[in-house]
Amino acid sequence: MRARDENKILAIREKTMALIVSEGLDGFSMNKLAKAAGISPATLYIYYKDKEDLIVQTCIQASLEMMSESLKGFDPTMSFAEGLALQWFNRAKYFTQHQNEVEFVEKIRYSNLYEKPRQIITQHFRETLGPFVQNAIARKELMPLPFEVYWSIAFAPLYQLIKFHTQTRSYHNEKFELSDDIMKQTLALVLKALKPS
Amino acid sequence: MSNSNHDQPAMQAVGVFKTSLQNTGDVLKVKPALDKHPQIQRWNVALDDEDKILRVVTSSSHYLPGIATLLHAAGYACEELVD
Repeated sequence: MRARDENKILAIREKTMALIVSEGLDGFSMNKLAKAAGISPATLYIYYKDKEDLIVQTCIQASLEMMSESLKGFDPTMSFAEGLALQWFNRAKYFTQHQNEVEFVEKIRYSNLYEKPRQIITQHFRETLGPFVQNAIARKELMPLPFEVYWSIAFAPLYQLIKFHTQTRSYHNEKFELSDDIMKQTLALVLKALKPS
Repeated sequence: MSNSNHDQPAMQAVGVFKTSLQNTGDVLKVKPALDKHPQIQRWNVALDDEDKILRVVTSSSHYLPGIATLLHAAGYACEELVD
């Protein structure tokens, strides 16, 4: 018997994400992964029950990391403007620096393996962001809205900017890079839109 | 899908076997013996793996060689893979 080798697990996770991003879910197998990671298939099965377990665990881990990075320094009692700005900057940083993780989770999101990661992530986000939104509404910094409307206004503009940044161009410009100023300018409009009149 | 927590190798031994089990019917044939084995805590077969992996969690590696014997008795090939 031996101790759990965290470095080995990290390497397995990295390769799993890279392979699924480059070759898709259908082309992915434990044998391919073992070859790519330079380990024996038996090692994979020591740590994971089967292929599905490996993918689901990797997705949960990646999503939890994404969430903890998004919420770094966050406190639900923050003012709405401050709390949203912090999340925008954290998310932009994470999404631009961890494209492999982001693309991997995105691939799993549209598969039947996403149910468990979805439940875990939704619950964690709800516990932290629920009180933040409720506080902001109580302080009249945010108008009460159906969740989907709120989310679309509060975060979709950021994700579109990140998309332009990742593509390095927009519909209008041959070159686009997401700057703090562009983000602040967009965020100011978002805050204005969400403020009770 | 299992309860999906990572197994803790410090307290358990995980055995990984290449088998000749081909389908659910084969798995059902070895199921009673594996279920009944007092030292097997959990087991599963990855039929989507080309090696048709049987994965067994026991309280000690001491019990792993007996598992291959168990499958042989049911008429299947079973060979422990080392990592």
